[in-house]
Amino acid sequence: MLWLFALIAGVLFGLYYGLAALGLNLIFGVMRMVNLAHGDVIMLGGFAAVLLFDHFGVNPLITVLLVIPPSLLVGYLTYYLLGRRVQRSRDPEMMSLVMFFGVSQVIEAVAVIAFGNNEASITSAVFGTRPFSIAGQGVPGAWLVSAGVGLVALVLLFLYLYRTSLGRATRAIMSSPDEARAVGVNPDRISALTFGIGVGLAAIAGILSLFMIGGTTPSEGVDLTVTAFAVIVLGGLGSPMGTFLGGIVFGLALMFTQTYAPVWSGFAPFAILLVIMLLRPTGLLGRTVRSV
Amino acid sequence: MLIPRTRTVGLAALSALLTVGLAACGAASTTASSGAPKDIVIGTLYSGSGSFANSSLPEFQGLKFWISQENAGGGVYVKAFNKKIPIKLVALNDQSSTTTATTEYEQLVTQDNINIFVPDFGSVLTLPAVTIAQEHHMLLFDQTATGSPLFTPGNQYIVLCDLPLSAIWPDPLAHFILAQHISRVAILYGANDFDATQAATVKSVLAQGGVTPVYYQAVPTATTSYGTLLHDIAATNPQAVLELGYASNDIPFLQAVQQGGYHFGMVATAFPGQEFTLIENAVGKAGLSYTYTYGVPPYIKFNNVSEGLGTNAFIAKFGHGNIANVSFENVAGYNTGLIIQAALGHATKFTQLGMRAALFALSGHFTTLDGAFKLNSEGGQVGELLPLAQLFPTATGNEIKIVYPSASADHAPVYPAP
Amino acid sequence: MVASPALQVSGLTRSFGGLPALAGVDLELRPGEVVGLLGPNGSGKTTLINVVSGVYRPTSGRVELLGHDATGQAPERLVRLGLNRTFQTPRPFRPLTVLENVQVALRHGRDAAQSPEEILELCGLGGQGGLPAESLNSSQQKRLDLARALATAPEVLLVDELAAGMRHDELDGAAELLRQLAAAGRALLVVEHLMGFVRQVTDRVVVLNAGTTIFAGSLEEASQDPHVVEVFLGA
Repeated sequence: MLWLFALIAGVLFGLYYGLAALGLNLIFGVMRMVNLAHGDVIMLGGFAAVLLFDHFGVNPLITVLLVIPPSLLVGYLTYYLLGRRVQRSRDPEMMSLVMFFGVSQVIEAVAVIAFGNNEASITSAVFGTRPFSIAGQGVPGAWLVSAGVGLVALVLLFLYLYRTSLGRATRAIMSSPDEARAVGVNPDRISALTFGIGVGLAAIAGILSLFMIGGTTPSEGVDLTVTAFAVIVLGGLGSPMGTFLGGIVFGLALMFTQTYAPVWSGFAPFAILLVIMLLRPTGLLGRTVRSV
Repeated sequence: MLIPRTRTVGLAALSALLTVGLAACGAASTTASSGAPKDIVIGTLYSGSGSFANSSLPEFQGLKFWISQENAGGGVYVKAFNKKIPIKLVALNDQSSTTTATTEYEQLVTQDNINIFVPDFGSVLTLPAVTIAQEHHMLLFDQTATGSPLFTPGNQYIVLCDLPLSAIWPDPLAHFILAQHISRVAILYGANDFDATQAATVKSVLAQGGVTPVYYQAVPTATTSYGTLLHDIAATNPQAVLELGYASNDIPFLQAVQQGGYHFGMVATAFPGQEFTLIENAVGKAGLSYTYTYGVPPYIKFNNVSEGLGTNAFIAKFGHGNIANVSFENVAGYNTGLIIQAALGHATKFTQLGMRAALFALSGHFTTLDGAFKLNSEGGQVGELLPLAQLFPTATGNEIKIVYPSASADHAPVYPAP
Repeated sequence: MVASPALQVSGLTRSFGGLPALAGVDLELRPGEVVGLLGPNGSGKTTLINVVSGVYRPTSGRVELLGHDATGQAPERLVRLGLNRTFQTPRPFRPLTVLENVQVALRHGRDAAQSPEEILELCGLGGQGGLPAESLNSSQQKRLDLARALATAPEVLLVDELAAGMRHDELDGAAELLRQLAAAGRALLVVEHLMGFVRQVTDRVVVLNAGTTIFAGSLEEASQDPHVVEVFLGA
C-alpha cells in the first residue's frame, strides 16, 4: 500500500509546509510585503530548539511556546523600524523584496558567526522511535507532532481571524487597507501584531523542521523561503486557509513522486505549481488577480 | 582543532578577501642560486561562509598547518634548486560561490604569480579551476574533488591528492556485502556525479557476485525528507540499505530511520566517517550505532609513512593528542601540502609538468597519513582506498572502527545490527 | 442661537503634481444641518472629501473638527475625533460578512449607542448580516458603506454620491435616513448629482468649480445665480 502511505505522509507534510508558509502569507496579506527573510526566521527557530535542547534539555514542544514572546517582540520592532517605511513607499512589494533580501543576508551571516556552518539537529528519539499506526501504516511520531502543531496553529489563527475583533480588523486590512483606516482601524498596530505572529509561526515551523527535514543550517533560509513562497502562491496569495491547502498539494506532490519516481521529486511540486498558475492564476483559494 | 571553528568562520566572514603571508620574512638565507624564486607562492581558495564552509575551512587549516611546519624549518625543499625556499600563501575567500570562485581562480593564475595552484574543497568548487588550470598550464593540486568527469585523457594539469576517485570509494563496501552473503540490497543515491558514480560502482560489483539491488533509485541532491522513501524501501524487505549522499542528506536520512522505527541488518551512509562529530550531534548516539560508513583518516591509521607526519604524530601535533580534534578535512589539507612537498622535493625541473612527472614517478612508491599514493594515467587517485568502517556504541557516544577488508580491520563487523 | 460649526474648512488647497485640484475652499457645517456639495465633474468635490477625511494631506489651509485642529490627520485618527465618510465607489471588506463589516467599524471607531444589528436595520440591511459582503448588489454595498460609517458614531458625515445607482423606489428611504441623521444632531455634507434628491435632503448648498467655492446658499438661489448656471450649463 505504497499509495496509502504517500497519501498520509503527503497530508502530514502538507500541514507542516502550510505552517512553514503561513506567516509569509499573513504578512503579505496584511502589508503587501514579501518577507524574503522568512526562511531565515525558520532557520533561527530551528537553532533555538537545538541550543535549548543541547544546553538545557528543553523539549522542542516547550520551545514552541517559548519562541512566541520573543517572536512577537521581534516582529513589532521589525515592523516599526523597517516595515512601516517600506509600506509607505511608492512600491511596497518591490521595496520589501529589496529590503528583506538584505535582512536575510544579514541574518545568515550573523547565524554563521554565531552557530558555525554546521548542520544542527535534535535526535528524533525525542518524540519516540516507535511509529504510530494510522490506517495500518506506521507513521513516525514526530510527523504527527509536527502536523498536530500545524493544525493547532491553523485553528488558533482561524479563531483569531474570525472570532476576535482584532482578527476581524486584520481581515478588513487584508481586504482593503484604505477602507479599514476609514472606519478607524489603526493599520500600524495591526501590522506590527501581524508581523509578530508571522515571525512566530515561522520560528515554530523551524523547530518542527528539525524533525521533518532533518535539521537546520544557516544557509538553508533561501531554500525555505522559496518553498514557502511556492506554497502560498499555490494556495492563493493573501489567503491563510489557502496556504494549508497549498501545503497539502505540495506535500502530496512530493510524497507521491518520492514513491513512484523519486528522481523527479525535487521538480514535481514546482511543476504542479506551474500548472495551477496556468489554470488558475490566483492560486487555489486566491480571490483576485492583483495588479502589480 | 587549533582554533574554535566558529571563531575562524566569524573572522573569515568579516573579510571577503584575506591574504595570509606565512613566509619567514627576512630570516631566510638570501644567497640565491641562479633563478631560484624568493619564495614558493601557493594560491588557493577557501569558503569562509556558505554551504561548503564547514568542510572547506578545516581543510584550509590543514594546509596552513603544513605551511607553518615547513616554514618553521626554513621552507620547503626544492630539488631543482637544491635548497629550502620559504612558502608564501595567497588565499582568497569564495564564500562557497562558484561564480566568485571562477573569478578568483582567474586572479590567482593571471595576477598573483603563483607557483602552486590548489583549488577549494570538493567537486563543485574545484570544477571551475580545472579548465582554468588547463588553459594556463598550471598543475592543479586537486584536494578532494573526486568525480570521474574531472579527469580526462587530454588534460595533463590535474592530480588528485587526498581521496580516491569516487567511483572506487564503495569498492570495499560492495565486497563486504558479498562477503556477508547479503542478497537483498537497497540503494538510494543523490542525483549528482559524486553519488551516482558510487552507486554505479556498488551495482556493478554486486552484479559480479550475482546480486541485483531490490531498490535502486536516485533522489535530488537537495532531498531532506526521507520518511516516505524509507517506507518504500522497507516494503522491499532489504537486508542492507545504502544511502549515498552528502552530509546534508545523511543527517535527515539517519533521522528518518530512527523516526520510522526501521531496523535493517545493515545501514550505510557516506559521511559519518568524514563528519563524525557533526553527524553524531545531529542524529544522536543511537542514530549512528552499528551503521556503516567509509573509513577515512584519521580513523584509518598510517604511521609508517614516507613523507610528513604519520597519523599518531599528526594527532599529537595538530590535535593536541586528541583524535576528536582532528577531522578528515584537516588530514586532507595537510596531505595536499605533503603532495606538494613531494612534487617540489623530487622534480628535477621547477616547472608544472616537471612536478607532474615527479608525482607520476612516485606513484605507487609513496605513503602518507592519507594512505598509499597512486595515480591513474589521468591524474586520478586510485590509492588511498577507503575501507569500510562501522560505528560501535561506547559509554559516551560511538567510535569508528575499520571492519573490512580484514587486512586493515581493527574490529570485527557486527552483522546483522542488534 | 446659531450652533458653533462642527466642521470648518478654510483656504483648503491641494495640488497633484503642480496642478491644483483644490484652490482655496471654504466650507462650514453646523450640527443638525445637511449641506449639498455641488459642482460639475472634476470641480474637486471628491478631492475635498478625501482631503477632509485624511486620505490626502492638504497642500495648505486648515480643517477644524468640533473645535480641534484636524488638518492632515490620518483617517483612523479623524474617525476617532468624530468624522467619517462614505465612498463614491464603496469597497466593503468583501470576504467579511455584512455584520462583521459593521463590527470592525464599531470596534475601532467611537462608541456607538446602537448595536450592529440596529445599524444595519437603520440602513435597510436588516436580516442580511450573515451574508458575505461580496454577495451584495451595488445599492446594498452603498448602504453597507453608510452603515459602516455610522457604526463609528460620527458627528460629521461626508456622503459621496449615495443615491447614484439606487433604484427610484429606494431614494425616498435614503433621503429620509439622511434627514433622520441630521435630526439627531449630526452634520452632513452630501455630494450628489440628482437634483431631486438634493432638494429633498439638503438645507443649503455649496457649489465648487475648478477647486474653488463659487457659491454658498440655498438651492433656489443657486439655480438663479448666473455664475452657477454658467458653470453647469457651460453657457
